Amino acid sequence: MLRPVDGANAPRLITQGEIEVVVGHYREAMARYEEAASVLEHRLRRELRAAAIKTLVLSRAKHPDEVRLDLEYQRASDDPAEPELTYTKLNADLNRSITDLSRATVIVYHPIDEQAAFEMILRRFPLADVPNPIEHQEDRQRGSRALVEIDESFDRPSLRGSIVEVKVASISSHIFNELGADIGYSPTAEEHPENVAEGIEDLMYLSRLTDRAVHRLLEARRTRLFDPTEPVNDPVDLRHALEQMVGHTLTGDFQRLFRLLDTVIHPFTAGALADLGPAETLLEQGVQIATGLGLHETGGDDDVLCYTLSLMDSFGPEFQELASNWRGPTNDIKNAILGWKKA
Amino acid sequence: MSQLNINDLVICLNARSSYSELVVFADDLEEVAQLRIGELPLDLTPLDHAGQRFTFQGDRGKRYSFEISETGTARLATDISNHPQSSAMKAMQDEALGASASAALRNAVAKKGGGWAPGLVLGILLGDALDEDSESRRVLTLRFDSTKKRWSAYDGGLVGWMKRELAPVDAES
Repeated sequence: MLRPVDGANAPRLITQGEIEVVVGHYREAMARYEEAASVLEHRLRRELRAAAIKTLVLSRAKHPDEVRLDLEYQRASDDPAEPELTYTKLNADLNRSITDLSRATVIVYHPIDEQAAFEMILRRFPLADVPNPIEHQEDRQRGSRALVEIDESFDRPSLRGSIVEVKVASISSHIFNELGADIGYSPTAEEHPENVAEGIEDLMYLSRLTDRAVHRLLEARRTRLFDPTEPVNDPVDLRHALEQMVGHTLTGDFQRLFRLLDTVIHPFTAGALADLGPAETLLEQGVQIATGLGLHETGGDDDVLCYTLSLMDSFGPEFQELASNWRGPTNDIKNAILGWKKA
Repeated sequence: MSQLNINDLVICLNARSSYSELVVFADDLEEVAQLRIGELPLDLTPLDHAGQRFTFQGDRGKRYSFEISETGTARLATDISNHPQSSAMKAMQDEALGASASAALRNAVAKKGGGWAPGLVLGILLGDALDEDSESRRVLTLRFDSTKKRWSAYDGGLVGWMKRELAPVDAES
């Protein structure tokens, strides 16, 4: 009777031929990864718009050539005695071994909004159950990364369990991150010809300078709202005005809050917001009302929902009439408004 | 074609007691169209020679002030303190009645433009200031369903434009 050779079933480094097989499988399944990225892109765009964070959102699946390069790179740095990357593992679940097969990129207009956008993603999207689902880069490349899993909340059963890598960066950091990586950024810049290394350095400083200029521009726009006669023109203005009043960033659906307040206040100015009462006090009151309504889970980390609830004594019937006319899927703020009853 | 009459405005004001005035585009009101051709509706009593200020007598005898603005709007208000009974005018030349209404209609149509959606009737309720010192006031933008004869709160894309056209801030200060 033949007996298996000792160590025949032990994990071993993946071969080049096996890499080609894996890449072939990926090519056949690529449409699914494209779709997962696209589904997340649409949800991201909707959530970021509601949060009044100006962004560009892009998505794509990783190119098969990039998958091949990635696998070769991982094999080169793997431990031959105890390899992390094996053919068996890749065949069992490719997406959990290479977590960036589906990718979405959120490019924020204002560097200061990078953190707000990333926090919104962590709050509103389920993280994948894989090692290191969150990463921040602060050295040469700048940006944040989260690995999001398509779960039942997406209402797409065929994509359930897919992992999508979401990267968040400012416009200028995005340019540097992409060009730097594409042209040949590496931690040891000496490996590049001098003129390439200089070009990458110039690009990095230019990107930092652009971030600073955009930051100053944004601050100038924000300070405009210190003037009580200044109109609150859109959800972004509303977010800025309220954040100025409380002195920290706020979360929630500013698009809906803007629609509500613009409909019931005229003229809708920074001064009118102050006339409604101190935002900090209103937020505290709103948290209590949310708790009373049994919305603590959602209300506790949704500043807009809490702020809206604190205004219900003044505008309750109007807000309820407006919310009852909102089309589309129901949401936390609509439920809270419709569930409110005058004390 | 007019899709509203002043009684529709009265019903809206009576149903929403937080507000004291309702402003609509003049071309949506049947009574403005009547005034333009020199007919004085029975419920309206003119208060000036310009054909702009009137008293409206509601079904239950309640009186309202009614004003037509040549800028293209018509306003019904519950406050009639600045419309003393004694100033009511018993007779008026037809031409005078029609001039303001005609200008109001023309300007309302111009404001809406050629691409205005047929059947879209909008209005704005005006209430008190947010607080004593506030320069902003409570309002509610509305849409009228002429089939169901019902007003409902409106928060669509025309809110900013409606506020500017129906209740310009400069005109109020």
